[in-house]
Amino acid sequence: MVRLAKYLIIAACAALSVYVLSIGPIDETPAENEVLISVWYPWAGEAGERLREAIGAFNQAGVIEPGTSNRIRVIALYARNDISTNQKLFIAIAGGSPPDVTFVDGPQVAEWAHRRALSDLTEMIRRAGIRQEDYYPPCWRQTVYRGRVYALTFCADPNFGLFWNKDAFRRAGLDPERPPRTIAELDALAERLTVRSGDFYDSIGLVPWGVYGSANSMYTWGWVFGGQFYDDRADRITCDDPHIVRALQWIKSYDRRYDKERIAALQSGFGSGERNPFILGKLAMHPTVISGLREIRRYAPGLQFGIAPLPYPDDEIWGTGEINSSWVGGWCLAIPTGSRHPEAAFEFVRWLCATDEGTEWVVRATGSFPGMRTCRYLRWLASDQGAAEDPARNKLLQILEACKHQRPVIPVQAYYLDQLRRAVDECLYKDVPASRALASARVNTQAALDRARAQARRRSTR
Amino acid sequence: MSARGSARQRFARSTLSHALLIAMSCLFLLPFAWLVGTSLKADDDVMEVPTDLKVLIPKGRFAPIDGRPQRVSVGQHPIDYPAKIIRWDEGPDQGQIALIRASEIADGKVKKWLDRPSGPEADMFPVTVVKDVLASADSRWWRVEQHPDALATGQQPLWDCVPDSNVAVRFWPRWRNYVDGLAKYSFARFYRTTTLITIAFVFLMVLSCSFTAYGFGILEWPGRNLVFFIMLCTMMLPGHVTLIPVFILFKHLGWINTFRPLVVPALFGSAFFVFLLRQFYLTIPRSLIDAARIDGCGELRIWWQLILPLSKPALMTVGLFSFLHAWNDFLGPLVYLTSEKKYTLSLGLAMFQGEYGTEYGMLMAMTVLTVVPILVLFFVAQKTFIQGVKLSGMKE
Amino acid sequence: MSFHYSLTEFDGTAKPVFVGVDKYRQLLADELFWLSLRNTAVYTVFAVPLGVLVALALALLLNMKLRGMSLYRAMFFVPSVVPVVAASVLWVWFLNPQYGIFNGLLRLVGVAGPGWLSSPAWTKPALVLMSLWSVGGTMVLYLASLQDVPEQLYEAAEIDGAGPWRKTIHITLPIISPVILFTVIMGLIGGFQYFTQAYVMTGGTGGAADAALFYCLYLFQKAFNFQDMGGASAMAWMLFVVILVITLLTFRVSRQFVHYEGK
Repeated sequence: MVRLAKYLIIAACAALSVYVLSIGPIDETPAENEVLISVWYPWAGEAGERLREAIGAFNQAGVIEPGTSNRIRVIALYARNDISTNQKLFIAIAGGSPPDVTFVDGPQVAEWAHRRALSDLTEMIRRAGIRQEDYYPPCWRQTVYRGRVYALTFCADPNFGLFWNKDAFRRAGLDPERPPRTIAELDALAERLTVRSGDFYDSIGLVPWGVYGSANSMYTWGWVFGGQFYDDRADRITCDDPHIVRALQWIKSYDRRYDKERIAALQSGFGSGERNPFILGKLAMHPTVISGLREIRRYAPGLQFGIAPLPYPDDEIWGTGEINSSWVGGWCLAIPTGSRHPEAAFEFVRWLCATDEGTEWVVRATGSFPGMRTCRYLRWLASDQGAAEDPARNKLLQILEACKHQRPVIPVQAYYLDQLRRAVDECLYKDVPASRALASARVNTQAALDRARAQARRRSTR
Repeated sequence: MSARGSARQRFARSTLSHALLIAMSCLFLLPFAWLVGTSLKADDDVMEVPTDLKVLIPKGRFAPIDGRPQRVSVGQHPIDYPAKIIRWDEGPDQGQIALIRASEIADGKVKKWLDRPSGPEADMFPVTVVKDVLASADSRWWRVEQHPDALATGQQPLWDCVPDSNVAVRFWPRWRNYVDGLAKYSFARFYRTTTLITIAFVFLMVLSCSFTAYGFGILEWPGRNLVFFIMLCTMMLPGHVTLIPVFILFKHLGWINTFRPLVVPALFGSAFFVFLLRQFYLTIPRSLIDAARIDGCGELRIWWQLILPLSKPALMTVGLFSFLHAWNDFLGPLVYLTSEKKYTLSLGLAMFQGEYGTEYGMLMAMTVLTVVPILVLFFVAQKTFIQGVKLSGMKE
Repeated sequence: MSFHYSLTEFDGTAKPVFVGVDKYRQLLADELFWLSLRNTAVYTVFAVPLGVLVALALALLLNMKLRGMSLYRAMFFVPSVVPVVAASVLWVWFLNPQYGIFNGLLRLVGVAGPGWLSSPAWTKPALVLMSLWSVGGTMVLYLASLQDVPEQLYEAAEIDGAGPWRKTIHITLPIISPVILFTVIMGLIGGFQYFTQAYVMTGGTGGAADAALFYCLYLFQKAFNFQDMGGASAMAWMLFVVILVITLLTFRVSRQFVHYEGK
C-alpha cells in the first residue's frame, strides 16, 4: 500500500515536470487587426501604477500602426532599470529578444547608444514633425549621440530647487522669508540651524553630500561652483578642474562640523515618505527633487516651506560660481535594437513624450515635468493662472527654464558616476585631499573613455 | 553512581540545555520576529526609533476626534502658534484640509500656503474654518487614517489637531498588509507558478544527482576522481559571465519566457548536490554493495533498490536544498521570464521595492507568506530526518 | 566561451575584439581589483570558520534527546530559509543605526551602536553577522550526518569512561568529517563568490568607502555597469584559479582529518 502511494507520488511528480516543461513562451496572441508591443517600465509602487493607467489610456485611444490598419495594444512589464540594475534589459537586448519600448535613465542613453542597444530614431522623429526646439536644450542633448537621436525625453526633473523649512528658520530666530543667496550665507545659516542634544542631532542645517547620493551631490555643487565636468569639444574629462575641487573641499568642510555616522542614520529616512527628515523638520535646508513636492503634500501639508534657486559662491575663499545653477535629470523612452515593431513602438513613444495628452499623463504619473517645453500643461503652468494655482511647481519650472546642464553625454557615464562617488567617499571617509581624489577619478574615467572611443573607431572602420 | 544522583544530574543537564537552547533561539529568531512584527505594522509605525523590545509589537495610535477614536499617525512638531484648521472651498485643493496660522486668514480667504511672496488678490481662495487651534506645546498636527469623510486612497489624507496627551497607543496588527499585498499583484498566481516550477525542479534534481553521485561514489572506473574534480571546478566559476552565452543559447532554442531554462538544468544535476551525495555514498560500507553484486543485481537495480532507500536523509537534504533554491531563485526568473503572468514569488517580492520608497509593511507580509510553505515542508521532512535511516546492521 | 571573452575587449553587444592578455594586465594594475580581492578574503576568513563552528555547535546541541527538539530545530533553520533578497532588505533595516532594533537593544544596555552598513569599518562585521544568522542550512547537514553515527560506538565509549567532550572529539567529529569537509569547501567557494547580499544591501554600489566591494560585486559592475565583459571574464577566470588552488589545498590538508568509512 505504501509502495503504491510512493509510486503514485513519483508518477505525479514526473507528470508535473513534463507539464511544466511543456509550457510555451507565448502568453498573449494579438487579436485580429491588432499589434502587440511590450513596454518595460522601471518603477514599482504608485508611480508604476499610474504609468499602467497611462498605458491603459493609450490602449483606449486606439492608435493605429502606420502603414497598416492594426490597433496598437501595449503590454506593460515591470523591470527595474536604474544605473546599477539594468541586467534584465541588457541581457534581453544582447540575447536578441528585447521589449519594444523601454525606459532609459537620461544619462544612460549615450551609453546604450554606443553599445548599439538602441534604435536610431532620427528619421521617425523628423517625419513626425518633432523638432529640437520643442524640448529643453539639456534634455535634448541627453538624447543625442554622435549627431543621431536615440530617445525622447519622458520627464525633466529640475535639479534642484533649495527647499527650506520656514518654521525651522523661525525657531532659530531667522527670517523665514529670506533663503540663503550665497554660499557664505548658506554656511552661516547651516551653523545656526544645527542643534545637537547629546548623542543625536535634533536638527541639522544642511548635508551637502546627502543630495541623492555622493555622485549627484558632486554634480550639483560642482556646477554651482562654476565647474565643468566634461569638455565636449576636446572630449576630455575635467572633473578635477579647480572649481570642482573647491566644491568638494566645501563639502568636506561640513564633514568637520558633523559626526557623519549619526547623520547617516538620519539620511536613511529619505525615500520613506513620512520619515523624510526634511518633512519631520530635522533637516532645515535640502535641495529636493520635484517628486518631493508630492511627499510634502501628502505627509506634511502643514509644513511651511519655500523654494529658491541654489545659492552660489561669491567670495574670496570659494571663488565665484554660477547663479541659479541647476541640472536636468529624468527619464527617456527609447526603442531597443531588435524590436519587432519599431513603427508601432514609436507611436507609443510619440504619444507619451510629444503629445498634450501623453505629457499630461507624465505629470500625473511622476509629478515631474515633461521634457517637451511646448506642451499644453507647461504652457498653462507658466501662465499667470498656473502660477496662482501651483506656485511651487511654477517656481521649479522657472528653475528648469534657466537650466543649462545635464550629466555628461559620454559612453562611460555609469563608470564616471561611480568614480565621482568614489572620489567623494574617499575624501570624506579616508581624508584623501579633494584634488587627489578628483584627479584619480579623472584619470580612470579618461582611460575608460579613450577605450570606448577606440572601440567605436574600430567598429566604424570595419 | 547512585540512581538519585544521576537523575538529578540528568535533570540539571537537561534544564541547562533547555535554557541555552531557548536563549540562542531567541537570538536567532529576533530578526524573524522583527520580520513578522513589521509585516503587521502600518507604514508610519515601521519608521519608529526603537528604544526597547516593544518595538517588535505592531502598534496603532488612536485619538478621540469628533467624539470617536480614530487612528492617527505622523505627529508633526508642536503647534505652538495660534492656528486654524480650514477646508478649501475653491481652488485646486478644493475639499482638502489644511492647517494655517491664524494670522494668515483674512475675510474668510487664505492665500495658497505654497507661497511666493505677496501676490495679487487672485491668489486668495475662500475657505471654511473647521476648527480653532489654541497655541499649545501639547497639540500636534496628526494625520487621521480613518474618517467618515475619508477621501479615496491616493489623495491627500485628512488631518486634525490633537493634543499629544489624547493620543493613546495600543496593540493593533494591520492584517490589511497581507490582504492588500495578496491582491496587489495577484500574488496567488505567483504562488501557483512557483510551486509548479519548484516541484518539477526538485524531482528532476534528486533523480539526476543521485544517479550521477552513484557513478562517482560507488562505481569504480579509471579517472573518476579527475572527472569528479573537473565537475567540482564548474562550481567555482561565477555564474555571471556565462549569463549572456547561456541566454543566447536558450534564445536559439526558443525557450525564453518559458520555464524550461529554469527546470531543465536540474536534469544535468548540480555539482553541489552531487558532491554532497558522493560524500554520503562514500560512507556506505563496500561489503553491502559487493553482497548485492554477488547476488546478481545490475548497477541500476543496486541504485534504485539499495542505495536510494539507504540514502533517504541525504536525498531529503538534497530535496530540501533544491526546493529552497528553486523557491527563492531570483536571477533565473528575472532574466528568462518576460511576462508578468509567469512571474515567480521572488520577482513578485521585488515589485514591492520601489524607487520612490519601499512599502515595508506589505513587503514583509509577502516575505512571511513566501517563507511559510518552506517551514511547513521542513516540519514534515524533519520526521524523516529524525527517524533517520541508519546504515543497516553491518558493523565495522 | 567565457575564457575567450577574457582575451577580448567586449562590451556585451558588439563583436568582441581580441586584445590578448591586456585585460589581465589591466586588472593586476587596478587598485580596486586588489581591494575587492582583499575584501573577499577578509570576509571569507571570518565567515567560513565561524559559520562551521556555530553550525556544528548548534547541531551537537540539537542532537540531544530533549523534549521539543523538533521545535528548536525549526527555529534555527527558519532564518536560512528566508529569500536572500528579503533577508537582505530585512537586515538593512535590522541594522539601521537609528531605526534598527539591533542598535536599539545595544542602547538598552548603554552601548552606542556603530553605523553598521553606513560605516566602512563595520560593514563587513555586519555582513558576517548576517551570514551567521543563516547557518541553519549547514546545521541541518550536520544534523543529518549525526544521525548516521552508530549508537553502539557511544555506548562502548561510555563504558570505557569517556566524558561528553572526549566522545565528541574522538567519535563524532571523525565520523562526520566528510560532511564537515564538504561544508568547508562549499563555504569557501560560496565565500569567494559572495555577491547577492552585498549587492542588495548596498544597492549595487559597494557600500561606504567600498567596504563592501567584494570580488563578484566588482565583477558584476564591470560586466553590466561599465560594459567591460572582457575584464569581467578575466576576473572570473582568475577567481576560478584562486578557488581551485584553495580547494586543492583544503583537500590535501583534509587527508589527515577526514575518515571515509566506506574505504
